[in-house]
Amino acid sequence: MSTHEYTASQALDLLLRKLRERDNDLARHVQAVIDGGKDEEILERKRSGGRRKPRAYRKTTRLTETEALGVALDVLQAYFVEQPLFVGSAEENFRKAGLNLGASRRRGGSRESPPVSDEEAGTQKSLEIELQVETQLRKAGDETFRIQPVAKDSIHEQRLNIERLRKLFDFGGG
Amino acid sequence: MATFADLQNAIDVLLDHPLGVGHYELVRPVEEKAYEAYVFGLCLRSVRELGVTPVLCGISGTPMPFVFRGAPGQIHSRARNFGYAEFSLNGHGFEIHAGVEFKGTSGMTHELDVCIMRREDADRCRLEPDDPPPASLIAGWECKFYAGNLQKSLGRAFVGLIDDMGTNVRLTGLCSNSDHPQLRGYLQPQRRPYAHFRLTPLKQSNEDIFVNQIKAELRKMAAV
Repeated sequence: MSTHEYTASQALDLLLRKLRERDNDLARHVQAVIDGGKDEEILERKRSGGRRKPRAYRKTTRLTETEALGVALDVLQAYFVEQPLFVGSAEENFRKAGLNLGASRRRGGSRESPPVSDEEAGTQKSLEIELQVETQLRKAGDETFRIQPVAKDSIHEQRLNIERLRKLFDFGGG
Repeated sequence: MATFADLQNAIDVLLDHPLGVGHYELVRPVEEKAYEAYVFGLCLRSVRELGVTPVLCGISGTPMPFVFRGAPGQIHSRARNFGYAEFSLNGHGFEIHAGVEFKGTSGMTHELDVCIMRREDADRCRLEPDDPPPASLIAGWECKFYAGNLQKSLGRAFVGLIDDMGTNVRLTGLCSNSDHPQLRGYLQPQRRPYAHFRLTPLKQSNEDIFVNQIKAELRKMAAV
């Protein structure tokens, strides 16, 4: 007896519809990953001279609707959980690094000791990603994007939300 | 029994969370570079775990903020105060860079998403503007954030790039938060880059493997 009031197909339709309502690009991306299918190894038993010889070959096949739900959640997890975790990890590792307090000092091949602040090892560093690259002819908008860590509690909430949906998408195989 | 209303509610809660669709729209333009920053950070951790504090530098001065290149560029570029890190180990000087172009043995230039190189060569290329030679490269990684399936072409391209970097490079790898079983097989031969797949804070053991590889190679190189 089913423990769900809905089918995998209905769940997938609902998820994709709700995604489309909020962000069509993200919905299209999820759809494209689902439509990419999966690699499968097909085992074929052929009769050859009276003996059965197994033969394996690779085939790209369509996902089942339950598999598609899992793949869709993986995509959402990458954006909603992993991306904030990348920033959090980077922030932590940069925070523990020292900071060179002088200008680049390379003259005549000699190299002086860099004026390093050890106290800076442990303080938060501002990390920015260039948006307007140097070869760009016409520039508009922000020059850089500051990546900022988000609260660990918030990331944890999203992990739980993903897990909750995985359970709701679990139809017990197939 | 899981009801349709439960399902609707769970989807709404996920998508409307502050780290939901709104967050996706915010990070999408920099998703690749945020992953590079993460891998760069793991390199810093490797150095720190060797008992050395890496130092953040900028080409034009104190890196406040620390700026990552938005596109492949030259190590000597002062278009912005691009950041890098430097450290010394047993008298050997090293630098960690992101998005810097190197000269291949063929003369063609190649971008490495994250790399560790000899400081002496980096200094020279900043002083007398040039792309670093292949022999200056110690370790290099291609970093790919993928919300979906990795592309096979990435592996093929990176194998070709590394092949053009000569025989001095000691450690190479293709890093991704995603996975690709066929690419794993393709990267299996001894001389090919490591497949650092599922390299993400969600898989701490994979982070540890990545970090420990760098530590082992730096120890060997600096004879410590």
